[in-house]
Amino acid sequence: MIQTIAEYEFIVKISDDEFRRLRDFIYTACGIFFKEEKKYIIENRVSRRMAALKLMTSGDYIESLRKGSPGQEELKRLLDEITTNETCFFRNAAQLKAFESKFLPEVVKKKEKISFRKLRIWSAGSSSGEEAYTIAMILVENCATLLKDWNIEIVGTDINERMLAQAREGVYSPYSVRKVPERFLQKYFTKDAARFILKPEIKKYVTFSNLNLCDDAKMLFMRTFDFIVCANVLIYFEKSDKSKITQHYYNNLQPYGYLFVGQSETLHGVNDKFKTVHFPGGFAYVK
Amino acid sequence: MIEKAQYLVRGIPTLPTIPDVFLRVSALLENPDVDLQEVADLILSDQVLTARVIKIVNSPLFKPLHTISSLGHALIYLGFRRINEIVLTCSLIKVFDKEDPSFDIRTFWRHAFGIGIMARKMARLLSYPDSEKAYTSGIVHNIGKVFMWCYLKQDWAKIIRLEKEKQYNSLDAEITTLGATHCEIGLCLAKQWNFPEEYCDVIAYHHSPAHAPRNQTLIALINLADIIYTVCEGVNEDRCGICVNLQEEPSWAIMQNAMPALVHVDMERLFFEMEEQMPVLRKLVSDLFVKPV
Repeated sequence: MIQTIAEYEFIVKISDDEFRRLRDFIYTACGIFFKEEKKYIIENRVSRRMAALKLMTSGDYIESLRKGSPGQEELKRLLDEITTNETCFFRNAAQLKAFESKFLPEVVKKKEKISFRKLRIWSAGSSSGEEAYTIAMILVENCATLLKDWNIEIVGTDINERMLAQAREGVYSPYSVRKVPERFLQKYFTKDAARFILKPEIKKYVTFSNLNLCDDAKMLFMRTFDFIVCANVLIYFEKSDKSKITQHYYNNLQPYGYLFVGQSETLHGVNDKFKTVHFPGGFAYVK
Repeated sequence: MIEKAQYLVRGIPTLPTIPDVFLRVSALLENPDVDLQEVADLILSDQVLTARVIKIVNSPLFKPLHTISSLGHALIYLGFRRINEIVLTCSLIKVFDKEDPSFDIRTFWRHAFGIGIMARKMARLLSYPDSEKAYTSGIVHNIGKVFMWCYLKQDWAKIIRLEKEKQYNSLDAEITTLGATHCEIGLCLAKQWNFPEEYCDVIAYHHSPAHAPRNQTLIALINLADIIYTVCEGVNEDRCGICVNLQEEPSWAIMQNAMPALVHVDMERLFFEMEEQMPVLRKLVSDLFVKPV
């Protein structure tokens, strides 16, 4: 069934069965799981791709994804359409809650025992920096208590120089900060017309640099992290690259370290060394 | 604790029996040549039961291709095993169907259905021989709790206070107040109702599968399903302190021993699928408690 929305736009309706087949295919290929509540988003994005490729039925489109290299490229474009515009501050509330209330105190306690008061966190695929700066805000909030006298270092890496420049600048739109709690907005941003400028007291904890996750030599040097966050990045990689990168993450983490991926993402079947810990609304991989 | 539980259960002179309709349906279904119309007529004699069976069969739990509006079609669609399980579920709902602000009956049934669904899903993934038994075990595993709420109201209120005000865990609160837990109480109730042995074992040992003298695999399955559901439900209850590594749970070791394929199960995806079911469960339970006009 096709509904006409505007003169040059149509939204195709995908049946429940087709949706499940598509999401199973995407999950097997990329490791991202779309719950049924996301069906309307998928329909919308599939429709856009169908219009771009001049395909008339969703069945034809789904078949095209299975066709070798062009299919893989198209799948990446579809994922990009689905996940684009989703990056923002405080994106994954459940993960951040579990991080702050459970995993961070646990790691801090372990390191306090050996008087090693340095925390290193890596935001892999940091894009325009929202994820790295979100973590910085949470850590700064704990600076007077849990993290008193601690040295904090957050490293953001990405392959895109434009994104890195944007991250270093630290200036954001209202859309980017839509999930920031009001008191954080007041405390850590300066508002200038429609721009939200991050204050230096947060920026100083984060450095951004260029890194290709497939660069094995450089990846070897990313050592001794307590936490690694890599959200909606590995979904774009072939399984063999994904395995290699995940093994690097495993090696790069401290013995008790945690790896976080995207809210709908899993690394099932990619690495058998990490264990999973589940919390309400998500899970983390632990060394 | 079992003697105390027996004393508590026998001390209720007005304890209901399992609704007659379930016992008669069960008896009819033992005959492989049963006339389904006879089963339908029995169920139709109870209007509320009929409405609930039709709601359940049309819910995403069973996902029929088209809406089923007649009981006859519902029974054909379900098949014998499932008719029995659904009628048992609805009978239990009827036995404990009382509105009371001190006990959220809907949360109880969401939990029961949730564990039933997860247990059945895991049973199928692991090729456990009887996935419908896993489902029913999930439904009945906590009947001890709802019995306590229904018939030991003052003690139930004390237990809740100990949990909320003094942070007792639920089993300790029950032992402190009653001298027995919902496991032993549920077991006595299940025996009084002549539940099959496997369900009695699940009810008695779902918190301590390693102590069960038999049916450990089934009990461990229910225990794991319970953990998964509790974590997923924690989103709604803002329980950010919960954190579970399933592989460290005793029931994981029991399951892995019996079903080595467990290590290959995509647990991350199972959690996503459970989270996906939460709105479905909420709607189903809400619909089940709307009385027909």
